[in-house]
Amino acid sequence: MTRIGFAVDTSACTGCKTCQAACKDRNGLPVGVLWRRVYEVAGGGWRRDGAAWRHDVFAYSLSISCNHCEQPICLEVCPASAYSKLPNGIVELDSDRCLGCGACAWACPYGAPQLDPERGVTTKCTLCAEDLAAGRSPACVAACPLRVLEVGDPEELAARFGSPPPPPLPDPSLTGPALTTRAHRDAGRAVAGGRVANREEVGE
Amino acid sequence: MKGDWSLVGFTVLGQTAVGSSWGLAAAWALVAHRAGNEVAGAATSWGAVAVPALSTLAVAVALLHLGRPGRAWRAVSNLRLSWLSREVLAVALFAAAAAAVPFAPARDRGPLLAGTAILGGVLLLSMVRTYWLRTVPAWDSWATAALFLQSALATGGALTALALALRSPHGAPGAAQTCAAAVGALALAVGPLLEARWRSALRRSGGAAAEAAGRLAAGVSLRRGRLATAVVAATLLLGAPALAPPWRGAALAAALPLGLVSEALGRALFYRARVRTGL
Repeated sequence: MTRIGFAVDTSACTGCKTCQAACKDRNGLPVGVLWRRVYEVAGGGWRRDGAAWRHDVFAYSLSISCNHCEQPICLEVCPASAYSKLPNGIVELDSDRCLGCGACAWACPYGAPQLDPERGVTTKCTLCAEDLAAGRSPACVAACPLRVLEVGDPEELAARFGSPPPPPLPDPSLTGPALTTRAHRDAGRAVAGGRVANREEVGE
Repeated sequence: MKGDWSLVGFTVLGQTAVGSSWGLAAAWALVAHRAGNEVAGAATSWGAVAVPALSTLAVAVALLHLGRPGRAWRAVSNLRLSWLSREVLAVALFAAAAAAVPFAPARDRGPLLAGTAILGGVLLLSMVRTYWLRTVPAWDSWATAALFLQSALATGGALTALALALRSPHGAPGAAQTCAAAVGALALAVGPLLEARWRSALRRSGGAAAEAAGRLAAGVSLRRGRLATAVVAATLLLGAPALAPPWRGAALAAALPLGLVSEALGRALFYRARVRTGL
């Protein structure tokens, strides 16, 4: 079976958060739990140029969920064997086995596993496996008004618009994410001085 | 930080139990060499009760951070991959071995104490490996092993000295008691120095590690509290053997909770440094 992964075109994302809302709605997520989050990466400031002050501020949005990694660290650290890697590459979480220890949430460099405070267990993106099986796109992909998000074979997606992951995404060699990105033009500047400007909103 | 306090409790109490198991095994060997197995068994009898009690308390405190404590039994389901699973198994085996010691005849406790000490080493190793996460650079370092070992020696030394003193409150302090107190005092004093060196190394690393160093630096009240309690506890431990009998026990009894508080504050700093690479 073909592997499945997400692609995100950060050069075109406006940060409207329709994907985030669609995911929350499709999966009935409680307050405080976001399987897909839109991070606002910002940087720059004012600098003096002779008698004038000029700014070099920049900002771009980064829509991220579980990346169904090739070497999922959540699966490695979970003491309850609640995670499994399916043949199609989906990293599945059985919340009925979860103890709510939070080890996966500590370890995942994408912040994908989210503790559901009401149920006392961790939950995360399922890649809308039921919808995929029925030939439909995941809710986030279907909802994106700018077609920034895509789902498909990671190799095929990488051939179309792959570029090095933009900051603050981690080194892909850590977990081998099934994520393809097209970097925003300011991604290079973010390496030197970018930060996530909406930490509180994305729940960290 | 809410759930972290239960893990602070688990790791500090667990490491105290591990350090005490080492101290008791060493004390047993020392006393048995000089005065025979019967005397050695009697000298370590208080400690033999304290270690399983502490281990059980540590496990009970750890349950508090789980969202579903009723499913805790599942925590040994991933021994093939998860160091957390191995840690849970190790703490269960260590507590079981420690619980068997008080039931053994006093003269035959040596091998059991040695076995418990070895399992304690395995538990400490699994604790260290649990926190060596490749996505958390501040923890994925030599400092995790050094800080956990230092904690075990500091609080374990203090508990061993107290347990030996409780057994013979009016006698002269033996070599084992003096050594345990000295090891505890030295390890307590080294703790803040290790933390400072760790912070400095993180600052130089940049990225998530530097952010962790910033969080450590911001924990001024935790650092000051740790240093103050460590200095007082270490002084009490070093001075106790020279004191007259009623005061010696009192000094050791005061040093242990102070040492535990010091290590708990240090551990709170450790959890504060949890900054992931990436998002």
